[in-house]
Amino acid sequence: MVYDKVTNSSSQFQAMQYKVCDTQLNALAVNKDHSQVIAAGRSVFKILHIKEDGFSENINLLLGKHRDPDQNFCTNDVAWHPSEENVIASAATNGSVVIWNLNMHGMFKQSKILTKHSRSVSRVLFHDSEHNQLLSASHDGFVMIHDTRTENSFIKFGMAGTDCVKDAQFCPSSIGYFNFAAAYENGCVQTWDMRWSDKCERQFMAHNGPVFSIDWHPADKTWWLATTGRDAMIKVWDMVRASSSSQPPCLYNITNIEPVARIKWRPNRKHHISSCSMSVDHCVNVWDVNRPYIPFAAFDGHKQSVTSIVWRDCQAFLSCDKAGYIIQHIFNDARRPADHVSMTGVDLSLNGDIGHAYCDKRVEQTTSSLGRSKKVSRSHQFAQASSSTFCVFQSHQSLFDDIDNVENNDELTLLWFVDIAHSYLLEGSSLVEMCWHNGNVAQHFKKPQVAQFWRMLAVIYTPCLNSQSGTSLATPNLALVSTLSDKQDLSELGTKPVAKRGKDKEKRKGNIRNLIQVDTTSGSTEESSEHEGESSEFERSAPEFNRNINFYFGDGEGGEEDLDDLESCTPVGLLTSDPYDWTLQRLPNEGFQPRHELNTMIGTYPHLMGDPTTGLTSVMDAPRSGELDVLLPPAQSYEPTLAVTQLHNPEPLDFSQSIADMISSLADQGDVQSAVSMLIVLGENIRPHIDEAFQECWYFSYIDLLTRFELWTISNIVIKQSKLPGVCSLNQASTAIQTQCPKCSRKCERAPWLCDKCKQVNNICSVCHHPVQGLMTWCQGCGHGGHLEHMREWMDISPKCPAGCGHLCEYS
Amino acid sequence: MPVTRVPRNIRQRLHFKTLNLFMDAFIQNNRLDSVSQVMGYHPDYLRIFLSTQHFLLREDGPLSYDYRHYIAIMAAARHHCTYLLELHEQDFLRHSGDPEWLKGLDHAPRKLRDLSEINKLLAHQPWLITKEHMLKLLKSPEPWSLSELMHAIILLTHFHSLCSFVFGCGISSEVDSQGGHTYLESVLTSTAPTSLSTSSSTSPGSSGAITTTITTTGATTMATNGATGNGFADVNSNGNCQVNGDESDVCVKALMEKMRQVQEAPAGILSAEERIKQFNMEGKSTAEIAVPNFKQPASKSEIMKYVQDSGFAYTDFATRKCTEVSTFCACDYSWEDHGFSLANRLYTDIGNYLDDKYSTAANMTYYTMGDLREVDTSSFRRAIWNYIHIMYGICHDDYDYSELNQLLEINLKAYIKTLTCYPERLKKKDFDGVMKGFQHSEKVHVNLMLMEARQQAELLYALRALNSYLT
Repeated sequence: MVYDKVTNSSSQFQAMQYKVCDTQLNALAVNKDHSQVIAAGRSVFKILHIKEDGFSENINLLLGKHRDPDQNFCTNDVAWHPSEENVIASAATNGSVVIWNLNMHGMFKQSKILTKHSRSVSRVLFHDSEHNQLLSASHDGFVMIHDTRTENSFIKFGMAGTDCVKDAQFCPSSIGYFNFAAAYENGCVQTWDMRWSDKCERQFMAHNGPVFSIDWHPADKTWWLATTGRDAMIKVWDMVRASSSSQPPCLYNITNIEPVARIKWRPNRKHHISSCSMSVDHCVNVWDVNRPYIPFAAFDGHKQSVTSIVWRDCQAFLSCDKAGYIIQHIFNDARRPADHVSMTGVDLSLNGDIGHAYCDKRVEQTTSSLGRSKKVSRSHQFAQASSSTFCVFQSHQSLFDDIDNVENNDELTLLWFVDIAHSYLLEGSSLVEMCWHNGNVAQHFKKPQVAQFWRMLAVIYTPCLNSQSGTSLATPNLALVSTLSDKQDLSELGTKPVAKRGKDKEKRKGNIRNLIQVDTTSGSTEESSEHEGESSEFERSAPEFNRNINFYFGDGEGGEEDLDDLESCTPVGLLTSDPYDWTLQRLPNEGFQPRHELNTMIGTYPHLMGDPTTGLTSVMDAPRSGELDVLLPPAQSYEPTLAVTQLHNPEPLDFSQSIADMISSLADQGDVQSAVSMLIVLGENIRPHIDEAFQECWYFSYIDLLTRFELWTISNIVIKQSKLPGVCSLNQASTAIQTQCPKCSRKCERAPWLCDKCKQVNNICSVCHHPVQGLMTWCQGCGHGGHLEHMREWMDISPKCPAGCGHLCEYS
Repeated sequence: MPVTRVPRNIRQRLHFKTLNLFMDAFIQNNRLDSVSQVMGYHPDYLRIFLSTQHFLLREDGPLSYDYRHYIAIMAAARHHCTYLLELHEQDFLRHSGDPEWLKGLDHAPRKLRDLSEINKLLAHQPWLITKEHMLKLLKSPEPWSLSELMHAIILLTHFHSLCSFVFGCGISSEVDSQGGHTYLESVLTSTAPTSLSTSSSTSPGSSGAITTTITTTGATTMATNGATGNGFADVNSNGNCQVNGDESDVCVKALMEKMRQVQEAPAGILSAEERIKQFNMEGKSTAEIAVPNFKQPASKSEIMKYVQDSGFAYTDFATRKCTEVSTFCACDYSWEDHGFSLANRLYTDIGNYLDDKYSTAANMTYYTMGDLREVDTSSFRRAIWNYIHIMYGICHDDYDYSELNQLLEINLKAYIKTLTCYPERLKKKDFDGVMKGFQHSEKVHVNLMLMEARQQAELLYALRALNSYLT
C-alpha cells in the first residue's frame, strides 16, 4: 500500500494521493458514505478504501490470474448504487453496461452485462430516488434507462443515426423527478421526460462543437444546467424560465483556454463550479461563475490531464488522471490565481479612448488615460503619436470624466488642431481683438469651452469695461453665461465631480421654479426672450447663480418679501460651499446700489472675504457681473433710474491670478494649444503669474505638436512670441545653411554665391546677370533661373528661358 | 483536358453547384486542376476540400508560401506523385521560391531537410512517430515553432493522402506541365502517372500475378476466418464473379444483402478480448493481402532528389517488428475530442476545416449503390473507414471487425490497401477490377474516404506525439 501525504491541513480531510496503476484512469465513483472509491480505466477496475490519511486498495476486480477475457476492456464511467453498497455499474467502450455485485462469491463479480448499445457507452448513472433506474448514454445516439432488477427491460431515448451522446445527467429529483438532460456531439443539449420516449422535451444548441459534459446544479430550486464542450466555454443555462421551444437564457459564460472535459458543481456553494481540461492543462479549476476569467481556485498535483472529479463535501474532492493517480484535494491548499494577478484594467470608451488603470506603489490607485484610438487609420499615425503626448497632461487627474468631453471622430484625427493653429491670431492686433477673434475660431471648431475662455479674456481686458452696462455688454452675454458654466466644470472637475453632480441635481429643482419666475417677471421684451433661450443652459450649469438672479429680479419688482427671501435663500452655508466674493461684484454699475436693502447684504461681505478659496472664485465673478448686465435691461425697463447711477468707484480688479489658474487647468486637461495661445496673446499681462518652468513645458509641447504637423510658420511665430529665453533660443540654433557649389559640390563657405575652389560666381540671375543673394527660382527643365522677381517679370513677357537656351520654362 | 480514368462522357455532366465551385477554383488557382474536376462529382465535399486547401496554401499561416509548396513537393515525392510534384514546383517558383532548392533536398535549408524524417514516417509508418521526433525538430539549431510544425504536419498528411487520391483516380499531369500534352491514348488508359507509364497495360505478366495472388490469399483468409464469417463463401464466390466481369449487379446486390445482414443481426456484443483478437486477425489477414509487388521502375531523378531513405516503405502494422508500439486505441486519443483542439490551438481554424472535411467525406451519401436507390450505405462506409485505420494500427473499441470481412470483398481490400500504402503501385486494372457495378462517382467517393481516413490516421499519430511532447 503505497501512499504519500502531500500536506497536513487543519480541515477535516487531508490532501493525499495514490497511484492506482500505470495506465489511464477514466472514472471515479464514491459510495454513499464516502468510505470507498472505485477507480476505473483501461484494464483497471479497483475499489479503494478512503481512510483519513490515505487510500488503500480493497478489491481489484481485474486480477491477473483470474483474468476473465470479458473483463479486459476500457471502462468509460462507473456509478455506485445509491442504496445497495454492493452494486456497481460501469460503462465500457465496447458498448456494454456491466452491473457488478460485490457479494458474489469468487472472483467473478459481474452480475449482469447489458448489451443494448452498439457503440461505446460514455456515461452510466443511477437515479437519485428510483434506485433501480440506471441511465446509460452511448455514442450510438441513444440514451437508455434500464431497470437493474431485470435483464431486458429498458427504454430507449433518441434516434438511430444521430450524433453521439457524450453525457447525460438526471435532474435532481427535487426539481425534475422524471427529467434528464443529454448532451450530443453536434453541440446540442436535449432534455427528456422519462415517461415520454418519443420526443425530447426541449432541444437547443449549447455549444459550437461537441458538448463534453453537463451537470445540473445540485441545490433545490435552482434549475441551472452547466454545459461545457470543445469550444472551451462553460455555460450555465437557466432551464426553467424559457418556453420549451426556445433557447433557454444563458446566465453565465466562463471562458477557458482549453476544451473542458468534465464539470461538476461544488456542493453547498451556489456559484462555484469545478472543471478539468481535456489535454494540456493539468489542474482542476474551481470557478466562481460571476468571475468568468480567472479561476476562483486552482488545484495542482496532477501530471497528466484530469479525467474525473468527485466532491466529498464542499471542502474536499477526489480527482483522477491519465497517469493513474487519485488525488484528494483540500480547499485550503488551493492556489488562488486571482491573488497573483497584477491589478490592471483597460477599457475602450465610446470615443475610442483607452482608459488604463493600474496599481501604483505610491498612490493607492492612479489612472491615466491614453488618447489613443484603434479607429485611427494608418495615415493618421502622426496624429496618434501626438495625441499620446496629450495624455502626459491628462495623467495628473485621477479621473475618467475629463475624457468624456465632447469628442468625436474628427477630434481623434486632430484635424481641428491644424485648422485652429492656422486660424488663431497670435500677433499683429490688439489683445482684445485677438481674443474675440480666437474665441470665434474656437466656437467655429465646436470648442465652446475654449471659446468662452477667449471671450471672457476679451471682456476682462476690455479697457472700457466700466462704461454703461446696457450698451457695452449686450453682445457677449451668451458667451459669458456659458463661460461661467464651463469654468465651473473645469475648476471642479479635478476635485469633486461626483459631489457636484449630486449637488446640481438637488438644486435643479429649485432652479426650475426660479426660472419660471424669471420668465414671468421679465415680461415679453425682445432681450428677455433671448435670455430665456439661454437660461435653460445656465440653469443646467450654474444653478446657484440662477438663484441670485431670481433674487435681483424679485428685488426689481420691489416686493419686501423678496428681500427676506434673499436672506433666507443665501444662507451662509450655501455661500461658503460655493464661495462668492462680493467685493468683485460690480453691483454699482447695475444701479442696484441705491437700494437701501442691499446694504445689509453688502455688510456681510467681510465675512465672505475670509473665505480661503478666493483665487478660484474671483474668476467666476467676472461672468457673473456680465450676467447681471445682461439681465439688467428688463429691469431697466421697469425702473430706468437705476441704470444711470454710479456711486461706487470701481476698484482696479486683478484677474490675473485666476486667469493663470484657468490656463493651468487648460494645460492640465491636455489642451496646450489653447493654453499657449492664451499665454502669447496675453503676453506680459499674465506671464509673471505662472511658473516659467510650466510655461516652458507647455511651449515645448505645443511646438513639438506643431512641428509634427509640419506647421513650421506657426511654430516659428510661437517661438518668437514666447518671450521666454529657453523657448526663444529654439529658432536661433543652427540657422545657417551653407550652399554648395553646383559644379564641385563643395560648400561655399565664404559667400553663398562664390565657390572658393572653382573661383566662380554661382547662381547668377539669367535676367540681370548678378549673383542672387535672396530668393532664387529656376526652371527644373533647363536649370536656368534667377531672382524671383526678375523671373516673374520675365515670364510675364515671354514663355522662353531668359538665358536664351530656347527652353519653354515652366514655373508652378 | 485533365486525364483521369473516369470516362469523359460521365465527367461532362456538371451540376450547377459544381460549376460554381469550378469557377471559384479557377479564380483561386488560375487553373482548374484535375483533382477538383474529379471531385466535382461531390460538390459538397469539393467545396470543403477547396476551402481547406486554400486555407492551407494561400491564407495566413505560420509558414511562408514557398515553404508550404516545398513541403507539398516533399510529401508528393514520397509517393512518386509526379502530378502533384510538378504542380507545386510551379507554384513554388510562382511564390518567389528559390529555384536552387528545386535541385533537391540537399539544396534546401536545413529546416526543411529536418522535416524529411517525419515526412518519411508519416507517409509510411506513422505509428513510429514519437515525441522525440518532435523534440528534435523543435530544438534543432534551426528550430521549428510549434505552430509552424503543426502547419507542416497538416500539409504533409494532406498531400500524402492526396497522392492516394490522385493515383486512385488515375489523374495524370496537367496539360501545361511537362509530358501533360503529349499523352497517347494507350498511356491514358494505363497507369496515368508518367513515372509509371513504363509499366503500362502492356505488361500482362504483372497483372496476372496480382490476380493469382489474390485468389491464393483469398483462400488463406477463408481458412483463417472460416469460423467467424458464415457469409464468407459468398464473398469469395462474388470475387470469382467479378473475374467474369458481366454480373456486376450481382456484386452490388450481394453487398446489399451483406449490409442488411450486418444491420439486422443482433450485434452480439463481443468481449474486448475477442475484438482485439479480431482486430489483430484482421490486421494479419490484411498483411497477407499481397499488393502488386513489382520492382519499382528506376525512379526518375527528378523525384528522387526530394527523397531521403527511399527504401523506407510501408510494412504491415500487424507484422511490425518493434512490438513496443502498441495498438492505437481510438477512444484514448480521438480526433473529435483531443486532436481537434490541439490542432486548432496551434493553427487557428484548421480544426474546423478538417472537421468539416472528415465528417463530409464520412457521412456524405446519396443513398445509392450502383443503380439501386434508397440504400443505407453507412455500414459500408464505416467499414472502409475502419479498414484503413486497421492498416495504421488504430483500433476502434466499439467496432465489430467481423463486419469488415462480410462487407469488403478481398479484391476491394487489396485495392484499398494498395492505394493507402503503396499508391504509386496502383494499376488501372485494379481500379477497374473492384466495385463492379458501382457508379464512377461512388468509386470517387470511396477514394475520398480513403484519403480522409488516411489523413486522419497520420494526423492522429502526429498529434498524439505532439501532445505528449507538450505535457
